[in-house]
Amino acid sequence: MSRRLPIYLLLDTSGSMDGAPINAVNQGLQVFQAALRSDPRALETAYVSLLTFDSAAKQLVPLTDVASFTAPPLQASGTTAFGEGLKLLEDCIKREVVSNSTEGQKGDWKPLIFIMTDGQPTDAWEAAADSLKRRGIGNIIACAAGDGADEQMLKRVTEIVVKLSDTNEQQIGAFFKWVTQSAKTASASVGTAGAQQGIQLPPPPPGAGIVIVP
Amino acid sequence: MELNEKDFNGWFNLCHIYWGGRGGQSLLEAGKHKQLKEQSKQFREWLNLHSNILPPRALMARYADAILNVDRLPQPGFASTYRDKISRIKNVAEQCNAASARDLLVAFFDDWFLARGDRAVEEMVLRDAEAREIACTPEYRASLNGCFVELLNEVEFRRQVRGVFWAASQQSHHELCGAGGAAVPGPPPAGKQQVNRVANESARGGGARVASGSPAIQINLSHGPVDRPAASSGDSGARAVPAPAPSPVPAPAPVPAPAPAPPITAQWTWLPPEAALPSRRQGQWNDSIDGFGTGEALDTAQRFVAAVARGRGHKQDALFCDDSFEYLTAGQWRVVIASDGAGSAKFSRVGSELAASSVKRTLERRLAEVDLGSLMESDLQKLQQSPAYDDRTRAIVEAFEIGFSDAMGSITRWVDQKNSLEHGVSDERKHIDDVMRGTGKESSRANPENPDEPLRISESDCNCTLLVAAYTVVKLLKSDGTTRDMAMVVSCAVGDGMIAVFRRLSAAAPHAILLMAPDTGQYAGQTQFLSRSTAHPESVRGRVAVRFAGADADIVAVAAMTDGVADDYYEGEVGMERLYCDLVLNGLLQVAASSQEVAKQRDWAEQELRARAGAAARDIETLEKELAAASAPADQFRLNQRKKSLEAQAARATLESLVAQENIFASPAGDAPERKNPIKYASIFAAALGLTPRELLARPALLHAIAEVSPSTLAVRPDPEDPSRSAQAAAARIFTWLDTYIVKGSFDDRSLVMFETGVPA
Repeated sequence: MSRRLPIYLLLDTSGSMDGAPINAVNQGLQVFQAALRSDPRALETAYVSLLTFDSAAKQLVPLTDVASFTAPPLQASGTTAFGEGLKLLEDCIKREVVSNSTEGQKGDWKPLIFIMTDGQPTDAWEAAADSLKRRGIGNIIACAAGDGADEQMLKRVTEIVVKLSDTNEQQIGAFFKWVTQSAKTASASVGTAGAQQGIQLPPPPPGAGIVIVP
Repeated sequence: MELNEKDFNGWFNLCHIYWGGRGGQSLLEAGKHKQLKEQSKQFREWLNLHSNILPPRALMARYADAILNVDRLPQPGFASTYRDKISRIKNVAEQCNAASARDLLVAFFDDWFLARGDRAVEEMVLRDAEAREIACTPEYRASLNGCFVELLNEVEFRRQVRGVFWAASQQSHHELCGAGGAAVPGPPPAGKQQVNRVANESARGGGARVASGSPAIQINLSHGPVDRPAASSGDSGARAVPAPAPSPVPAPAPVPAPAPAPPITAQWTWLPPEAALPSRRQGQWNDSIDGFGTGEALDTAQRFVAAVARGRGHKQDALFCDDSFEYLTAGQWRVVIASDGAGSAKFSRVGSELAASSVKRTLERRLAEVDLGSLMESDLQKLQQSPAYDDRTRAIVEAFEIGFSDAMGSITRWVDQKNSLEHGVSDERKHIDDVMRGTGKESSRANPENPDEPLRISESDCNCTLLVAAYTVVKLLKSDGTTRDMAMVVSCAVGDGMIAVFRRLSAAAPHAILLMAPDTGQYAGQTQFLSRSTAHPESVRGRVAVRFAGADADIVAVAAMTDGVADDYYEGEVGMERLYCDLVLNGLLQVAASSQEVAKQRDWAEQELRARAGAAARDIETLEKELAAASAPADQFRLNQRKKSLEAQAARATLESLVAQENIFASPAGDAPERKNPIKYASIFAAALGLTPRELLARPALLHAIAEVSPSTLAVRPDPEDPSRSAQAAAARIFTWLDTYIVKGSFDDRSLVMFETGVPA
């Protein structure tokens, strides 16, 4: 029985994502899924869960091993219940991630969480964000996609924020590629000292318009 | 247009470099980078100029012929592989619709990778350390489309290769022909299914590279301080185990039908370790870099058997095995030792070897003198509480204190010696420095006044765990004047891993006794290592534990193992019981049972499996009806999952079907055929029969019956006339098992060292 590396994806599927952006997201998810399935380490250690938020937040795929994880095609419509999404994320992690080693199972590694939103939240989200940040239950990387998204707002959720200048296919594709790289790097470092001392994620691909918000 | 020789040579060499032939490699070996660079430039130039003129097929045919006619083939036996390669080239050339030589090259790439998988890339460019080193130099990169090497880390390797190939050829085209060159041809045609690549980043330098100028993103995979339940080796049954599975989940939102999942094509690769400091082990017992087994019979009933196997992770990353083991006899004592080098420490392999061998030497001397004589019953309790209780046992504790101290000392001496090697004079010093620089720690280690000065190694670069268990038999003087032989084990451990005693199944439980609590520090995931503080006599004194494990006749084996094995059998006593089962099922430990009883149990097991399979089949029928009626996708999902598990159960109708046919991890060079070895997993048999491993242990005849099914074909038949040969055979079998058994997420090096007593004839 080995320790799992939980990876959570929390994605904005509100109406503004309709069209090219959500297609790019779906494409990105396929790339992500295929890449992890081709990485023997990720195949054995990474577990992925997919959550979305629009008018409501849903956990579309519970924490599943890479071999079984299949991303359903996403559709975009509705508002942006970001707060509900954050709350659901926290609940899912609390429920699914085993943080302490017990007699029966070794505890999981600290989850890797990717959040992407393209717009302003339409619900009360501050409390959920504060709670998530305070509890520190995962490494959160938030992505503000496009002009409509406020990267400073995301700073309330996590220190690590990246910004896409646009929600076109290239940018979103590059973002998912980066997510994939990070997942693979994390999978590879599991079991080495890097996992205990902290690891560095690969930098976002240059020239793709992804900027790390200082 | 006829090819001129010069052009053709350029083509030839470049093809060879990419496709692992000898032409380019010999140039690499000769260090003729410039020549290579020149040739590749010429080749590119030529390619650009001729791509629209010369039919690619003619080109490839000429190439193929040239190779087939090479009279000096690199190795005997290589010829056939070579010819296969070449006929493949010809096939591709004939069948593909390449519009240009570029397309052809690309098509050939595709075909090559599809045929060989991920290993092709490794073999081609990284076959030997030199080639890899050269491949990573800036010159090579610049000259030979060196981003090819960086591409090894890319996700969509194949697409990238083609993309870069195109880009590079475009670039050189522009360079050569100036801005007024021909229009850039479009991107290559979309190809066949994606070839999957294994990210190999951790092989070089560990972790990701940071692009200059980009702020680094640091994450932490360890949780902070957590409430860890006190590690206990007892009462595994009493405590209510918190359920690891999630609590009942509210049905997930209706999931639209997902696209069919792409096939899983991940493949573990095998790489020899990078040339580094020579291993002491080489030339001593065995030169195998993948591990080995070795055994020594003391007499017909007692023997040591030990094996170590390089883990999948190290095979993937081209690293040496970090585990070491030793065993020794000293007077009445039998000692097993295991040591595991820390993954992060660059010279941890040296550390583990030095530590293990050093403590062995010390104990050989010191334990030989310790003779415990007889003990009273009242002594036993006191000794278990306080090992240094009286003069005799204090000598044992002291022996351990000095042993651990010596182990640390040997590491310190090695570090000092290497640090004092003359800079600029010693090759070894330079090599060490290169290895150290590869860690990325140079910024903290380098001397700011003299940045070229070699980096100093510190003791923590040799971090390793150290587990020692010493077994002896003492005479117990009972109150009624009779004596009994008691098994006594003294253990001392720094770090993780496990020391366990396996007792005879006919004796009363417990059958597996744990002799250490893994030293994993305060936070989950951290491990203590041998260091000045942990090797300090006071610390060692606190770690020494004495345990009386029952009558000597009841002991089967004392085992020490590194976490590569211990973690796969994680759950304390329950885990070790499962290990015991696995050792028995795979023929690594013997259980005694009458043949009648065994036959009876086998029949029972086969019957039970048939019954369960039948029941599962009937359940599936019922389930099909439910499935047909279910409309909600969530229900369908749940029912399908249930159906899958029932189908698995229905397929397990015989004992034979439960035996996993695992591969022995493929050997290097791809020439040795992959061997399959039947492996039995207690968890699978137990689940199929509706038992727990503990219940299996309670039925030795059943274990024996299962062990007889599909026995491993790889071990030499033990020879009762020759205990020494039997010991070697047993050890070889352990090595095979360590090298072959698969547990998800288990990539670490595996070591198991056992002292067996009461070996059945």
